[in-house]
Amino acid sequence: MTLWDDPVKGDLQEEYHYLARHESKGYAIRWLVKQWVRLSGRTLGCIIYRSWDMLNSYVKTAVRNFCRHRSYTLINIIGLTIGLVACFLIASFVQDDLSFDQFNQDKDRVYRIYCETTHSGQPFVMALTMLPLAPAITEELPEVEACARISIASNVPFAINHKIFRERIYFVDQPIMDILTFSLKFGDAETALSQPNGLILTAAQSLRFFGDENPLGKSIELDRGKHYVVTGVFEPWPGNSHLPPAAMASLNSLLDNPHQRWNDWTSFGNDYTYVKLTAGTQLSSMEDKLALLHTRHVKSDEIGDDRLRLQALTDIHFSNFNYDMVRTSGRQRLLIFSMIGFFILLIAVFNFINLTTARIALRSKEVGIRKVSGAQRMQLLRQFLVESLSLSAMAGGLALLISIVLLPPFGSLLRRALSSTAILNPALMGLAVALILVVGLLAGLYPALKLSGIKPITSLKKLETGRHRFVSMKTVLVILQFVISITLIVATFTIQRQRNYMMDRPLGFNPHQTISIILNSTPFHGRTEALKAAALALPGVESVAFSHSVPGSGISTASTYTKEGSDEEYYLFGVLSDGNMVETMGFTLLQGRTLREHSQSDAEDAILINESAAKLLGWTDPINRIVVAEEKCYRVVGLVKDAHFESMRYSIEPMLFRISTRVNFMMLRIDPAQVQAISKEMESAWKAIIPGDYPLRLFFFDQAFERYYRSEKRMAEVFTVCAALAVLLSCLGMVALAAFVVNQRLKEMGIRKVLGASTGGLLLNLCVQFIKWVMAASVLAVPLSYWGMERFLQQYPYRTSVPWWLLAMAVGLAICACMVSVLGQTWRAARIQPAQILKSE
Amino acid sequence: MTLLSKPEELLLMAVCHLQDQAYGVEILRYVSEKTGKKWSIGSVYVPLDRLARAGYVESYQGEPTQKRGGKRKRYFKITKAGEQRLLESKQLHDAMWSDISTYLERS
Repeated sequence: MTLWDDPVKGDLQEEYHYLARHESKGYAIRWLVKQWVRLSGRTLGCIIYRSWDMLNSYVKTAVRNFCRHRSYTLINIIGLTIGLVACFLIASFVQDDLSFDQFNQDKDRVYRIYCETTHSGQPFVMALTMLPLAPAITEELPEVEACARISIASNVPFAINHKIFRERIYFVDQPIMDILTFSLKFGDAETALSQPNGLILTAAQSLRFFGDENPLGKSIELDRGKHYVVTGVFEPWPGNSHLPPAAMASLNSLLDNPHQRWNDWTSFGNDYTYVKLTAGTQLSSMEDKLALLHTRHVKSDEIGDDRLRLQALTDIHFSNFNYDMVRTSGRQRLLIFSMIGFFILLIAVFNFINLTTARIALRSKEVGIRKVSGAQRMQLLRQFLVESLSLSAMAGGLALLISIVLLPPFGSLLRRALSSTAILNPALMGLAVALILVVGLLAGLYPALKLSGIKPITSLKKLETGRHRFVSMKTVLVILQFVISITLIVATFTIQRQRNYMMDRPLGFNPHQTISIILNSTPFHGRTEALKAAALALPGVESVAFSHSVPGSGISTASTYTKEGSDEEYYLFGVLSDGNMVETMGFTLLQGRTLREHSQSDAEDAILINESAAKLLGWTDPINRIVVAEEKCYRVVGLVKDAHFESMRYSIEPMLFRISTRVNFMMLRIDPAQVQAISKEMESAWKAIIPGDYPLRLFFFDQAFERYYRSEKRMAEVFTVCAALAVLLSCLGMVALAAFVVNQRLKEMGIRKVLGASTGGLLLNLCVQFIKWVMAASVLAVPLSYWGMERFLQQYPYRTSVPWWLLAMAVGLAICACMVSVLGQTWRAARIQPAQILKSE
Repeated sequence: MTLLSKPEELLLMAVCHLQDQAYGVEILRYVSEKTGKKWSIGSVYVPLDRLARAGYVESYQGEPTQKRGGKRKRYFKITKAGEQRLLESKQLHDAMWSDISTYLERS
């Protein structure tokens, strides 16, 4: 009983009309679709059952055919397998990316509060919030079921058995356990953080600190001699959480630390606020209420353009906010990855279609004989579809196995924990099966339709091989393959070139001539003079400076300034130092003088500004101009040449340099040849001056800046692999296609040779055909990739270009690859003995 | 021999009841109405095919009509063996009911 049986069709039609008349047309259609769906499985079963013998015979023919043309079948399967593996791997990565934070139970109701504002007229979005916000929300907004803060501290020394580990820690409010989903191996999530000084360790930390034993109840001394008790241990941290793994302690533990930020509504630190709304709360009305709450607590002139907004939990991974706690992914990267995966698959599928088509096209004689013996067109169609489907199914099975093996190393290339089982989830498996079916059908359908329509008399009359019949489609597919390959090669080169450009571009100072020591979270207060004296006593140390931020560490202090006598606000980044920074870093002074370290008046109001700041403020002669911040005037005494403090992905910020005692770094200007000796000497001086077991932490500028360009490096790596794959696949297809084309032209070559053609001439004659295809591809690919890469480079304020020779190199590479892959076959044809090939005529 | 399943039994009774009107849609409507559940075309034909293979019903083609887009109806008719089978099934039910009726009435 199938959908095609007349009585069933009749019944369906009759009931459909009945329902359409008595119920409604929509209802009838829904009924019909439901019947079809429920019958489809049975129908398929019936078809297979009824045509079992025929199917058996098709499979037998297919297997015999595969065995007869082993090398072709192998190339075909391997090509499709490689393409599918690439596609599966990328798909599982994309799937992993999309699964971020999906494991949280109440993910639909959980939001993070962020702050939208404007800086110097530019919109500025930051993930930070102020500390008193969360208690106020809990108090005043009943729509919020739970609200909690996460305050991040990095490099916090954990003292365990007199050993010091430096760890990241989250100070949180207890409700965070309810808002986000955490699972604990030891301890109780409900109560672990309700007492001050409770501490939950990550599984990895627990293992490092205490080995395999249960650490509950152990005491750990954290920063500033405070003791915490381990009240819980997390299960291994989920790889797809936007929060990086870290220990957690109650934020209440810090309450005895008198800090103005607890009640300061205008100061932003490393604090993030999460809320869980009650079910059914409207997002927009919630944001309005949040704005109202904001205005209740902050005076309107202090709010300015600040606006508190809500960000869905599952959007965090894809957002790109300033001061976010983690490096997020960005949908653009996801899109690029998916596109690469798709293109590689496309190349592989084109190969498969081309090769299958070419091979089936050679079988017109078989089709003729089958027709003469009574085969119907439908049956022939089915035969070829079975053949191509079994080929694609083999490749698919193989690809699944290989992807499972390759997934962990692929994940480590992308710094993502991808387990082998990730690929076995239903969505990906569905995709895999659909892909295999579609590819198999596509590859089989075209030749099957063409061939099954052949008149037996034409195919049997002569040894007709069906030459030129499929050439047009094949050419198009080959050209498209090379378009993709060339574009990927250009992309690889360009990304690499942009990375090199950013690494080589002058930073505005010599990164090798200055090293820096991280003072942060060590008891250095009051000992800076001793450190300075010790450093200056070393041979090779030219000068010493202390500062709040250094190039490569980012600048965390920024405020709004106005020009004297004007209300217009400018957002400037402040670099706080002891006055020696410009000399020690080797920044170039363009106008005026540098700051004087011990001058009382300089400490009071003197500042230097950089070129970007001068440009922003609209000053060509900034010396002795005044800027105002918080009713305090600052006098510009010097203009400094722009230097990079951040990744070159961002423009140089407008900066001002000011004297301050708030420092985090100590910088030494040194003789680069003596780095080793100086850092060794400095280490012993450090040990003598700083009490306690605090290791000397050095900060090298070249390393810091290299770290900025890691994502470019990773992207270049991925593109290299993908471009190589694309070229390899295109070549694989070329090899088999060359074999096919050459075989068809063997007789022609024989005749040419008899008429006096030389081996070299024949070789040229054959190769020109393939080169022509690649050239045609370049005509398309060159403008396309040039345009694409120029657009890609637009996101960098300091960017390289796509020079003509880079494009030429990519085309050259494609031609070389093409030549290498066709040379074997063409060489064989060019050296043919005419007698051998023509003897049968 | 194996027992009739509930759908098989119900369909067999439906075919028996509908006499010479027993074809797909009619059977579908009859059992849907009696059971108060929506039966799909597949759930009618599949057990009927099984019954036909076992020899309890036989089917024959009717005349094509305009209403059905010119498709023939497939009528089902209960065979002697089928009638026998239904009676056996009823006897089995009755026998087992009489065994439990005392318990059911008590509660």
